[in-house]
Amino acid sequence: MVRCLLEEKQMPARFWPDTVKWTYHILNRSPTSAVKNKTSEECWSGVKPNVDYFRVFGCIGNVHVSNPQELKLDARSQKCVMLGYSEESKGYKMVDPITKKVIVSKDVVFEEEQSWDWRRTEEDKNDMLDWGEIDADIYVSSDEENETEESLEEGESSQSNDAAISHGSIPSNVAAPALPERRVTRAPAYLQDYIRGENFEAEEEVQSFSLFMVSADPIYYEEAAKMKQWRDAMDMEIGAILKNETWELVDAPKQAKIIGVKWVYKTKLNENGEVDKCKARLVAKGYAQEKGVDYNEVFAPVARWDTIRTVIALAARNGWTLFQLDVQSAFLYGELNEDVYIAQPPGYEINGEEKKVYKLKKALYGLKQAPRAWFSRIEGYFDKEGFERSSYEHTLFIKKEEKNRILIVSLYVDDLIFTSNDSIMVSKFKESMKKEFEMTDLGEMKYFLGVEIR
Amino acid sequence: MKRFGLENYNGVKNPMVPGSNRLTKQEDGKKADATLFKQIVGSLMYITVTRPDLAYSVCLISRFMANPMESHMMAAKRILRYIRATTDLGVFYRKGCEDEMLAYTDSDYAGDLDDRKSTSGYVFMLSGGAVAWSSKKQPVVTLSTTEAEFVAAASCACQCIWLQQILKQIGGTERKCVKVLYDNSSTIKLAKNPVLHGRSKHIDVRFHFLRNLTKDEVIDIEHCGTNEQLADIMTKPLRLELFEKFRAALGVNSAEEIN
Repeated sequence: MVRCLLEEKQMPARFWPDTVKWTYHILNRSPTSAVKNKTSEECWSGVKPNVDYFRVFGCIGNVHVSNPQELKLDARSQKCVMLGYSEESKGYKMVDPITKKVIVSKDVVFEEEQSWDWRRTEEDKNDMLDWGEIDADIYVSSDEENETEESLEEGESSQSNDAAISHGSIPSNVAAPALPERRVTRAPAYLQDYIRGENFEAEEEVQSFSLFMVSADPIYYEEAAKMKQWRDAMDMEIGAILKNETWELVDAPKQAKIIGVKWVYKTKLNENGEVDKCKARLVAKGYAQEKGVDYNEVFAPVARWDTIRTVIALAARNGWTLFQLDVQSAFLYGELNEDVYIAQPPGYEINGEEKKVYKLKKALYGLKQAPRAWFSRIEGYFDKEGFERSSYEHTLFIKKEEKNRILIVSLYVDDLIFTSNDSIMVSKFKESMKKEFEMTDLGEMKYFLGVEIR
Repeated sequence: MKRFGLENYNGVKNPMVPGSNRLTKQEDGKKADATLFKQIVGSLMYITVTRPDLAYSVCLISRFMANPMESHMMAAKRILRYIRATTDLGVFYRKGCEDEMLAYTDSDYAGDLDDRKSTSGYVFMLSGGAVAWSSKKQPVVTLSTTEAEFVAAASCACQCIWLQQILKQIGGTERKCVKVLYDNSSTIKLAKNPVLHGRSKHIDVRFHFLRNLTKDEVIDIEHCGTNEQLADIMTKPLRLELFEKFRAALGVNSAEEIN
């Protein structure tokens, strides 16, 4: 029946869920063999269902739309396609085929003979996007639905024939055919050679998952904890946090808000598209923080592209070499001014002290004030090293020494580019940075913020 | 490219056909997929970081983000096809170039057909390549080309002061005034001569701002012919030869040309 409904108005298969709902809506309000001279709906609610509002599924309806800005002569209606009856409120469920918006409305004028030219709309889309695969998937599932529908329908139509014959008299000896509890499903012949999904155990599923879905990163801790590479990655992150003395274990204060933490997993690929490393990052749920209570200032400046290009142009003109440094886990260096309490990370609760919470001394990824804390930290460092901050561009630091030697550093959150006319200054700067922070030396600049430099 | 299903499209040589900037908000025709359009514009915005030649066309289509139509989508696709043909372009800064910083500024008059605001554009050149550029719809409606040019000049001057300070700090040397090139002689005259004309009495704040800067010799305004006006590429779609000439002048070269 679902298939017929879709076929009738030439609708794409991706509407199958609405079609199934509408089919049941109709079936529940049609005569059935299960109950005598009644519809299922009447049996359930005791009220004879009204079918006045029934419309042809998938037909075109002109929905009245009210727009306060509209002009006197603007169109008052919008051409939509009928997708059944809303479950929440009294009104038809209409979909605008172009914007794909669903509208629930009672003010609809139907043109039941008309149908939308889906083929044209879909083709336009195929121009831009490949819908093919998704459609195919849905098609399979709607096929299955169809089979169930069909068997129901057959039962129903034979019953209604019976009813027509024995009209007026109470059929005493005609036993209603008992509907099977559940249809016995048999796998199609072409699937017999394969082991099917439902027989898999959970552990096997995870393994097969990791076999052909290398690129899919786990979302939940429970998923990741099953795989060794993610467990190692999490151990590493916790190790970095402990080494950094980011937090201390305290009893949960009564008034303070405890911010939850979660793990975020990411597989890093190298330039050949192979798995480089698995990275786990502990993040705080910063969205739970309130301004004025949990944090005050969040602003942290980033370099303007104009500045970066000017630095590059200047380096090119003078024949200086550009270098690049990357600070590892940059935000973990930021020192916090506010009191922030976080829950213990999933999987790393300390036995016997599950009730306690961590008080943060340094910032964690995800906190609202983390970028600012990091920026003021590195700003303090530059200050100590004798750099002068440009008053016109806050992320530009300049160090001048005698004999016109100069070192220019531009900061973009945790990426640094710097150039100098003196190689001793460069190596000195690198040394001192490495002492202060955990750094990756990327050498001469090749790639900065996704921009290639040659 | 692949994301927008255009990997098999043929490349084209310029991002816009001259005279095709006549797009309005109330276009006839069907609505396009707004989400997809926004994704395209967002990606294009990122590319403009290294590609000054795209600034104007991206600026233009991004005005229709709220309600994109088929014709806007076609314009966006054309830009994508242009990028496809020119993926290896980038700004090239030459070594040992001893030129002073140069600024070009230009505007088109009432280029937006919906609200008749003008577009202002500027380019700053250093070491043989463009370092700062912008193509932006002006925030006010202007009454004459001179006035539109004036608004563009003022926003260029703001950027100019800022860049000058940065250069002063990192370049070490004290720089003299930056040469700013216009192709509109009446704007230059207005900025240089302290006379109040009947037709310009309403251009108040920006007028005095620019005039002050000229007096203090922060910037030096000079005339240049339309054919040397690099900022043209920021304000209007150009003929192909002119487009390619200006593109090369901005320092946008392909990797092979450099080697």
